[in-house]
Amino acid sequence: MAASNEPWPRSKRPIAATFRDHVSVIRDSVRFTSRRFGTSLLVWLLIGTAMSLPAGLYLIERNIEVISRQWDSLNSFSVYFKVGASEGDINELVQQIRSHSDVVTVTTVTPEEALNEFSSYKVIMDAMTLLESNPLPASARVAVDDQLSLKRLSDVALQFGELGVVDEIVVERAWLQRLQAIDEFISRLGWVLGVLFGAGAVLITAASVRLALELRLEEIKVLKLVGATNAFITRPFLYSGAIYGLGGALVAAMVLSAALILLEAPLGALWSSYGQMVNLQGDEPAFYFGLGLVGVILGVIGGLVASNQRLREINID
Amino acid sequence: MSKIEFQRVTKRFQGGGEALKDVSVVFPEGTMTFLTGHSGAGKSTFLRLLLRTESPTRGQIFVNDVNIVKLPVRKIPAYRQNLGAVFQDHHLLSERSVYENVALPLKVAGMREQDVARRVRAALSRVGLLEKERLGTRALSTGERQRVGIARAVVNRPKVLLADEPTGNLDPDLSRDIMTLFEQFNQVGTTVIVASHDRELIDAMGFRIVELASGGVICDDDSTNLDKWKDGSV
Repeated sequence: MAASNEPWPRSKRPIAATFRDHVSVIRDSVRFTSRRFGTSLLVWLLIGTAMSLPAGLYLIERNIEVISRQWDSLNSFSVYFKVGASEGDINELVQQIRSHSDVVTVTTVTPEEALNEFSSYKVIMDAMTLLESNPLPASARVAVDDQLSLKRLSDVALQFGELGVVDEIVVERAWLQRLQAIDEFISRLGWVLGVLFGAGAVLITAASVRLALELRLEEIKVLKLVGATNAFITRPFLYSGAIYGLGGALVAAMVLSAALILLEAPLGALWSSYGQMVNLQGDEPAFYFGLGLVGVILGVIGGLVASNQRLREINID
Repeated sequence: MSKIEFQRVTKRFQGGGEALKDVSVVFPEGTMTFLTGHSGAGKSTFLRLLLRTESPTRGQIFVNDVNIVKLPVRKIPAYRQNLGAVFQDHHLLSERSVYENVALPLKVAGMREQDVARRVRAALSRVGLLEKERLGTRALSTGERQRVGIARAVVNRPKVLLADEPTGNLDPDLSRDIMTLFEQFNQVGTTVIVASHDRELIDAMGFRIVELASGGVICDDDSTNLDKWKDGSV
């Protein structure tokens, strides 16, 4: 009996050969997808759409988180005085607020200063010119201790709300907490949709790779007959999957970039009305690199699913 | 060394009859043998079992004393890399050139491009198709396609060459040429097994003939090869 459990001693495949195979397969896969550009484009659009929604939700969640952090650090409420309240009454109340143990700082804004803040908004300023006098009230932004709970903050604010010259008290933190709850919801929704649409992207890739595989069925049978391993046979389909996934990620990146550009201006206007600067997150290279990587991984998984399933069925008679 | 031995091999297909029944036969190393018999005699099944595209229902097949029936699936590709196979319907890739078709086993084996080119041209030159290496296989005649199939089968210098009805659709002159090619490969030490129902042609070749009928060996005229084998000329 032969010492080995194979009829002939196996010659070791050089690593350089595997590297050469990969280079050649990448070249062939690019050629294959570009020769069928119409079909490839459809696949890219489908995968891109599937990736855009969870990736978009991820961006929304990240931006809400950043905005929440900006607001959280303020930990404040605004006091709007009655229009026409005298400066003396306002100063007296401001002193009273300052002397409260939970209050850290009080910044007053006169009606004139408020009007100046609006000067950059042409439409509002045009409306203002129609009025005989400045309708804006004086206000004060009251910053309280960072450790203060929302309930305590509301109690403090209400305390001052009962005083005569105060027209309205606005506690921004209440809606901030609602915003954080929405953020949490969006985050969960993002994960759920990420899994669903990720599976969708895998299935789209798998269907496309399966189609490519059917076109090369004869080649696969011949390759099996001449001794190609499953890894060798599967390789082109994994690269095709990766190309589909990467193309899809590119489409998703373009959709999200366009969305960011469209949303940045109106969001900036909204945020600046709350005295905040908006700097939308998501246009950094790391995000797009991550998106591309996820696309490639989903594509390779799709390629694996399709080729493993089909290769098991292939009979090389 | 490439000795092949079938030990009481039976192959039964699901829902069908027995393609091979209790077949025991030995192919000594470096010999050339013709498997003959009518259609459905079991010739193709015999070769498919050797290629490990089928497994026997019963019995053992030894190649160099290793039972290939028990060869793990992951080791089959490496096993097949040492076999050359020629088919009646060629199994060529119609969208690839002659060169690319012949180069396939070498690419699978991971050979460098320069070596691939050298070996492919040598194989094509041997079958007389060197000047057609750039043509697509669709542009070739049936005989030329068969020769491309032979070039692909031998390009990797296989230990065993299997051919299933290689002259099935060819005229007598071309059939003779193809058989002469197999004879040449056998002369350099390759064990060759050719399945053919062309009795006139194989009788004229003067090699061992194993005749199958209804899945069994009914005649094994092994005098030629066994004599050669015993006196050490193969």
